[in-house]
Amino acid sequence: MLRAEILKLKRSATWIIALILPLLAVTTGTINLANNLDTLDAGWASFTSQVTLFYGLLFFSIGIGLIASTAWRMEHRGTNWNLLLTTTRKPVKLVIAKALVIMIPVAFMQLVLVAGTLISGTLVLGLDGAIPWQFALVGAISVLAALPLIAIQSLLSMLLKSFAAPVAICLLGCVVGVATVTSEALRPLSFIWPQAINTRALNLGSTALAGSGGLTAQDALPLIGTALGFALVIVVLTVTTIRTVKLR
Amino acid sequence: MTSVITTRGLTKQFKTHTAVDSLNLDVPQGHVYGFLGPNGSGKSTTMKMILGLTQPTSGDIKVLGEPLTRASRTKLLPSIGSMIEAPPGYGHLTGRENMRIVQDMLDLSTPQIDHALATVRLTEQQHKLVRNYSLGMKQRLGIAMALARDPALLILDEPTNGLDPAGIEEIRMLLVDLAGRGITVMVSSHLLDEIDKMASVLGILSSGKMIFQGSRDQLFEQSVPDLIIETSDPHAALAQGLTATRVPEGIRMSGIDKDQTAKVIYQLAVAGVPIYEVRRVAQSLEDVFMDLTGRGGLL
Repeated sequence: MLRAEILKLKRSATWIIALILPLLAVTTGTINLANNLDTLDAGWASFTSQVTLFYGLLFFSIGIGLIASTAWRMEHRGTNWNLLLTTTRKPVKLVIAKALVIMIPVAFMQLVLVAGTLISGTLVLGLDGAIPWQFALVGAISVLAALPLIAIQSLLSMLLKSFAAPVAICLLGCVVGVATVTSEALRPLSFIWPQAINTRALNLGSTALAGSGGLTAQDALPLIGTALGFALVIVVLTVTTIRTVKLR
Repeated sequence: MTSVITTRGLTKQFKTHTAVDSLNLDVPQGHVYGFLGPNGSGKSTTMKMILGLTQPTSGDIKVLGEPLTRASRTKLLPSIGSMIEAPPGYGHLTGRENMRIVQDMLDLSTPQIDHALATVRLTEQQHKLVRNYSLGMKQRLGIAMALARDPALLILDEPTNGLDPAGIEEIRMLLVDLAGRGITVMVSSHLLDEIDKMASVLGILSSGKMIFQGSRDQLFEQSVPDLIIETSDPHAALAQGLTATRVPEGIRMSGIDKDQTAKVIYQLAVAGVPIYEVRRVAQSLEDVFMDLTGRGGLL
């Protein structure tokens, strides 16, 4: 079942989304740093923080919304739902396979972000100091932290035939997410709001966002734990939805 | 004759209308069952309920000897090949890649895939993107996807839609051949001609109700063809007070059964009307169908 889902990624637009969004983040981060060298003078730390700031608040989550919508769009075409439902033996397998398959371009997106940042910092900006390899760890942690949003967007894109509607809902979630990480009063919410979990994960060790936490097990593990638990709940919800809505 | 599909009182109600109304379906094993009815008569809805794609409002379904439930559906799925409403397929993938998806979902072997593609004659086009396929090729790919699992039961909804006459003939021969190998085929159509030539059992649906189910011969028995009495003196025949119309060769009478026919012949003979020949009009399936549906019309 997973093999079938991976095959469907072939020639799909998910890869373009996964390539463009992180490159956009690296480009804006590079321009921002080059223009503000006086204030952003902490070298690599400043640069990675600039790249992950907007990427973590917006681009990453929107990218997940777009990739999930693209992955489900092909199932809404013609009578493909009939094919899917008459060849799927266990709905739970389908839900997990879809989530994993959305995770692949999401992971690729992170790879582009990390590689792009390291390349731009070395070749374009010519930053001093050792290359911050721990930035790759931030990229990896945020793939796991993205699981709740992946599961939610997968559920929404499965239910809604429209390509844009789930993405719009995701964008609204980003707005709420920004509020939870920037407002002191709402901050506790940022540990359970899917878009905010993404922001927190990407800004581990960042200097740009207040209260973002360090790149330590103490700060990263609770985030990953919550994300995994949350994703599991959504998977169960999605399986129930298939049973009641799609096989009604 | 064992039934592969049995439904009792199968009903599907939507908010505003009843799509399928207390259907008692019996699809015998190893036959091509022609499921006939005008567009919107409830054929697709019935097939979807048999496949567990939509829940009936009431009634029971038995498939391959098992009552259809959520648990049995999972077990039955690999034995039932289906294509409902229109052929499925991922346009951004090739025909072969689409087949590989089915292969992976149902744990099929590569020879099964090759064989299914060869059966529908898509082997040469298997590496083309499906979005570039003609409607006929998409239709054949859909059938290949249903066939690859070597099903015991094949449920096809309007499989000849959009095919040219040669393509229709090909599908017809394929389905008859499959039935010959013991596979039960349930095939729907709104076109009489297509069904007439392949189905050995017919089910006719009109506005969600089954108006006939049985063999082709039984269907013809349902409606008595007109009687033609050939005579050189139709005036004398009509003067006997018969309800008949004049035709070039004599007179024509409707709705006359065997006993009545004998009486009419006796009456005319006694009256001295010369009778050259008495025969029934050759009747097409279409005539019978029109008769049954009260000229409500098919198409």
